Amino acid sequence: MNDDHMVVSARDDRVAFGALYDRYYPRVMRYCLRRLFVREVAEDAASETFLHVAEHLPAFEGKTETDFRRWVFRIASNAVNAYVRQKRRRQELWDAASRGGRFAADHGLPAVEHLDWPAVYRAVLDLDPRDQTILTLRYFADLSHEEIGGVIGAKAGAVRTALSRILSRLRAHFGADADANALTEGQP
Amino acid sequence: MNLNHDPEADFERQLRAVPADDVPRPEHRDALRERALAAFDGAVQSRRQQAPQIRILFWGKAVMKHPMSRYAAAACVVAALAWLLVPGSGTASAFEKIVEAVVSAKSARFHMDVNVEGQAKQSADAMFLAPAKYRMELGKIVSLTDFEAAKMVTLIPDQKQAVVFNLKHAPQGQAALDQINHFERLRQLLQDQKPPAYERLGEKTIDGHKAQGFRLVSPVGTTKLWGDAQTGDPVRIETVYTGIPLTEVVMTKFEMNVDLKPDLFATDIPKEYKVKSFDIEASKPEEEDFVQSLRICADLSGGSFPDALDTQSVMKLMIAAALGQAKDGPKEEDVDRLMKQSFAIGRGFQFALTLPAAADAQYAGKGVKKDTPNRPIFWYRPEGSQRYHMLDATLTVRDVGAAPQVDGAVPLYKKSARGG
Repeated sequence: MNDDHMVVSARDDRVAFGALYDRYYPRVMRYCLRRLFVREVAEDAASETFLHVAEHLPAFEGKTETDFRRWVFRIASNAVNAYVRQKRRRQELWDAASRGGRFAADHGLPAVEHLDWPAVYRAVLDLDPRDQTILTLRYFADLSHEEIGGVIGAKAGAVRTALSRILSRLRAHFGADADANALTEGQP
Repeated sequence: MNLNHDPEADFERQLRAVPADDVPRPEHRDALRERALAAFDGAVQSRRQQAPQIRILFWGKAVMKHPMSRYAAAACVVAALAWLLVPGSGTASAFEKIVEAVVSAKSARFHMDVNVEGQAKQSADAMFLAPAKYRMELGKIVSLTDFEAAKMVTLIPDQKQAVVFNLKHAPQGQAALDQINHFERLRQLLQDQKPPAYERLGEKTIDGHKAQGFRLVSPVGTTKLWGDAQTGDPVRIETVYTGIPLTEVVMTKFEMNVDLKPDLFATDIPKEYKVKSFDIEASKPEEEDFVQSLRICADLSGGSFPDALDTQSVMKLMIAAALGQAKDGPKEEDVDRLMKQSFAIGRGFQFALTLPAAADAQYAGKGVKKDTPNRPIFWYRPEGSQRYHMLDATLTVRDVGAAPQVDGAVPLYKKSARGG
């Protein structure tokens, strides 16, 4: 079954829906984890996403897997953004990331230059939710500019421009002083 | 950090390569898979039933609010039940036998008792004629319903008055169903349909019949269906509706496929009767309908928004409004106006209450006076949007970037109620 046919079949075929789930669960879960840091919170967002997909797929009008991918990540992004928009919750995520230590070192993994995930996450959390969506979809979910545009309702060019601006901001955040202490600056 | 050579690309590479704990847990994956498949099965089934059901259930729920139409509303119960119970193509179980007896009936006569919490029990004799005509008799009062014509007429001989309900602007897919045989069309739609989920209640003797029982849960309430163990003919059907006040409808004394003349179901109104006509708007409610519903609530209550977007809050408003009329009770024109307002409120609330989880809809109008400045009372995110539509106490809608932070705001999406 080709990918597009699977999407169309999945509207009323549970086997096809199960196959789509198996394919997209890891990607969506990783996206939620990168957006929400705390595993339990990310799992709740992923659950909300797939239950919404399951309930609305019979009425889904998309015909290609690209349509489906945009739709799924739009739902996931809405679920995640609804969470991070509340200041109290954002603070809780920031606190969790602050307690996260140095992920690479703590897990015996090679460090990537001076970047470490808890510090990167805190910097990402400091961005506007729309910018968080763009950055995370691009670098941690590997969506194209066009696909991200489809998720957030913008043109690919606007996504490129936004991404460039976001990267500049992050580079300035990390590039000025690579010392780990500097990475804890700036709360949301 | 060394970013001298092509620093942008270097930074991007580093960002992508940052390790994190982002490996999914198999336990969560498998548990969610089961829940998602169950939700999917329900959605597929609901989708197949949706078109014919929505119209009848909506109508039934709307008219239930009006005391004059309770018996007519009970007709909707029967019709809704018939829609819900269309048999599948599987083997003939006892359950399907009862379902088959109900939905294949060409005519039927039965007795009906309606119990509304806090009110005296009301009883009526009912008749059904395929494909979708109903007649209810409460003493001299007769209520006639023709679902194909989307029309309901109640005749009150003592007052020489007729009350007519017309369903307006039903979505196209539903209207099309009216153009051909009701049940045949439904069979085509549901030919691959699995039998509805039910729970066995065992056997007991009812009115001299050895009957088998089944329990079904639907969005409108819980139904216990008892059928003759031999013939499958219904013996007793009990439905308890969700919402407030608690309403129970019990149907008994069934006579199936009896000879009933079509004249009994004619919705013609005697010439000397005074006619009161109400249109029930059945198109998909929009945001402006919700704004209008809150405006009506505030007007009825003397300026405050309802405590919650539920039946109880609306009932409180309507009762208070009715009691607040003239000393000798509400006048005819007051009742008419209240009825129209109750339809409009129900329709508006439907917009807010059916928003999906992703809309992040919240209501914060409890205790708030209309026109209080800078006071958000409702907000939600339209589908596909990252921004919110926020309604404030002046009943002005604004587009805002983030959800307002208001103490006491109540999320409208109930996870438990929707299997989430």
